[in-house]
Amino acid sequence: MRIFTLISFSLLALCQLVLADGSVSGVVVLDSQRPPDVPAGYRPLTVKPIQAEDPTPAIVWVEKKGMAYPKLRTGKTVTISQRGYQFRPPVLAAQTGTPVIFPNMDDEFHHVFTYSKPYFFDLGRFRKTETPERQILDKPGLIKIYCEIHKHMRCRLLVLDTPWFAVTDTRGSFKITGIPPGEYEIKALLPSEKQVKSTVVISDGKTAQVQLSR
Amino acid sequence: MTFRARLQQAIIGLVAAATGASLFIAQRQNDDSHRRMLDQLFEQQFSSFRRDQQRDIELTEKNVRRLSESVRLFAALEAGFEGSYQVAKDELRLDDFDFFRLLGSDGELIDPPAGSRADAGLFAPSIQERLKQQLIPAKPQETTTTGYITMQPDDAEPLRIYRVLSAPIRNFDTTVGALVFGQEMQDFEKAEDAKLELERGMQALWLDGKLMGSTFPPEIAADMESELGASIGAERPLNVGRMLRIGGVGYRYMAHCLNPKSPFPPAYYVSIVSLAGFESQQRALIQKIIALGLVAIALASLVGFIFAKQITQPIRSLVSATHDIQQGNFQPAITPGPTREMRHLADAFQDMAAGLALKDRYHSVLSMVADQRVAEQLMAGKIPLGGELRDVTIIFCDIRGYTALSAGRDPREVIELLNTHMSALTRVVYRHHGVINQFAGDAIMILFGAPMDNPTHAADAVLCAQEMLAERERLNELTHEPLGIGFGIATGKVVAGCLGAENRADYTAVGDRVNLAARLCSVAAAGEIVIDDQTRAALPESTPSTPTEPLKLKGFSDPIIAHRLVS
Repeated sequence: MRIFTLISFSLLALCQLVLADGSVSGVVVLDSQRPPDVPAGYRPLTVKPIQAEDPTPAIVWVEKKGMAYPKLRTGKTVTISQRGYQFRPPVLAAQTGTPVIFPNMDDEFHHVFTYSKPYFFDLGRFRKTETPERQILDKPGLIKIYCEIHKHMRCRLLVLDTPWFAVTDTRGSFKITGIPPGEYEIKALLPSEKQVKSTVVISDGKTAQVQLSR
Repeated sequence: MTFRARLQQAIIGLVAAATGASLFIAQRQNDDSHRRMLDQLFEQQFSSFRRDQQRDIELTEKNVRRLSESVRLFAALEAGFEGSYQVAKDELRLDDFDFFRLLGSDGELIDPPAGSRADAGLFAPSIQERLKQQLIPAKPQETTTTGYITMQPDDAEPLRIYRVLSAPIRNFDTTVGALVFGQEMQDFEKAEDAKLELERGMQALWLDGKLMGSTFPPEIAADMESELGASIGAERPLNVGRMLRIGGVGYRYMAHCLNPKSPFPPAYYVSIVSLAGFESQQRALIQKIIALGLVAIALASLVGFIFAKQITQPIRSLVSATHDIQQGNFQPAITPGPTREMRHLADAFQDMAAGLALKDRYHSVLSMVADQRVAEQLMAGKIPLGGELRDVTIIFCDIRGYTALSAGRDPREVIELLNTHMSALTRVVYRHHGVINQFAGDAIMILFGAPMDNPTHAADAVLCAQEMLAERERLNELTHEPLGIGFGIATGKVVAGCLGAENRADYTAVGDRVNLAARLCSVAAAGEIVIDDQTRAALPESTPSTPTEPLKLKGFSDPIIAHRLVS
């Protein structure tokens, strides 16, 4: 039995070597960053000053219709923390079935909620010391998360069936690895919440280059 | 037209004009002050209404703004959350509204789900479409907008007015829809007595071409609606105020726009006042002024009559006196007027009459002491001092045996005798237009051809002498003292004029022809007429005459042959 298992693993490793996955990298031409800077007239009652929001780049993913995606990225819990009166990160993606937690790192109440169609939740007011309920993202779609107490706080969480996605850096560069060879649609959600898409052919062990722009 | 009529006419005209002017001014001032008072009243009413409205609107606006800035409502609308109405209801937490509606970012009204508070029996499903139509202008704008709509929640109930506030639902730069908040307007009470209210001033809301909120008599409402529609039109003025007449009664109104610059149809707060009472007072005032004017005209006419009489009566008296003076009565009876001026006039007239009387006496005396024609010519200023060369015929006539007749007699008798004689001859001379130049004792000197021109002076003189002689003969038959008279007649150039000093002169003729006539007279026997050659030459050939022997006459160097007329 032990020998059989060893052989099987060896064969699998061999196959992995023979049929090596490909990658895609490239640049997304980013449009305006959202949300905007907090207006001068906005004065929420906060104990400490509101800190700047992290950069809000684009989310890029590849998908193929009718494909049964492996649950490659559901094992790790996604954390959307509230720190310095901002959601961090402000833009992120997760595969369906991924658990997500909302730790409050500030010394004040936050009230995280969303009315987005794929997923409605309202965690109510909670302190730093309280742990709000962990959410399992079981439906794909864009979830816009707000804090009722601090209206400037926004977070966009894109829940995808595909495990092959990436968040670009501030210049729009990205790289997605581990994609089985084949022809895919590659899509990007821009900071303005508009989508751009293209097609990409993934080959064994190679990195396809893509540029996405409006 | 008589003075009295003119005076009456002028007085009546003036009083009528003054009455008309007073009427005009009084009416104008009354109108102006009433209009100002009404404008003030309208402004006060509108200010009060606007103050109340503004308070409500500000409070509501605050709530609406708070709600429209709710991040929860924003998130719900942004996500197209089905329970958005419920979210809004939970967020409202206030009850001071009659309905509210949510609009999507494209302005489309999001239908409230059945059973939600926004639809909870307030509006039947049958009126949702009308509400939706009226809320089309409420689509998300940059700021809060105000509008007025009308709804009939129930067929049995009257039309109600709702003030709606539309506020955009936004989070910073993202607008996801609008919240519309509706409150019923309670400020317009129904009048119990529309007529009385109209007199005091009635308020209404003009909306969608109709007057709402007050109970107007239908005929007034219809006319007012069309008037307001025409006045407001598409221009949407801030306010408009006019006067109009409906069924013979005047109305004044003022309409203030409640929602200028709003995308909703314009709504106007209208104040209306019936001018029936004011116009009735105005009419009464006019009638009083006219009555006073008529009384003033009557009084003025009477006073004018009296004053005119004070002037016309003395004038009539003066006119009568003028006639008297024309007739030769220089002491006419004058009725002095009642006024000092009229008395002065009467005195002046009397003085004038006295002057005229004196002048007349002077004239008479002058005519008596000088020849009448000479006197007339002198008075007319036609006889120059110094004389003029004229062609004349001179008669000299004297009484034969005068010296013997007068000797030893009473001079008064002689004068009487002479006066009788001279008067009779003078009448004859005047009949022949002769001019008696002078009486000298028993002699008379007569001129023909001076001072007035007479082309037949020689023939006239001879005829005159013949008649004078006949007259004397006629007189001789009547008197116991017959007188014989002789004539000398000469014709030719003489100088005729006023001779004498500057302040005392006689009209006379000077020349040898005058001397000749006198000399011929002296040679004429009683009943003889002796004429010179020139006179004879002027007579027709057929005139019987006999030449005299050459006469040696004093003052003439050569003997002169004259002629004796044969009767």
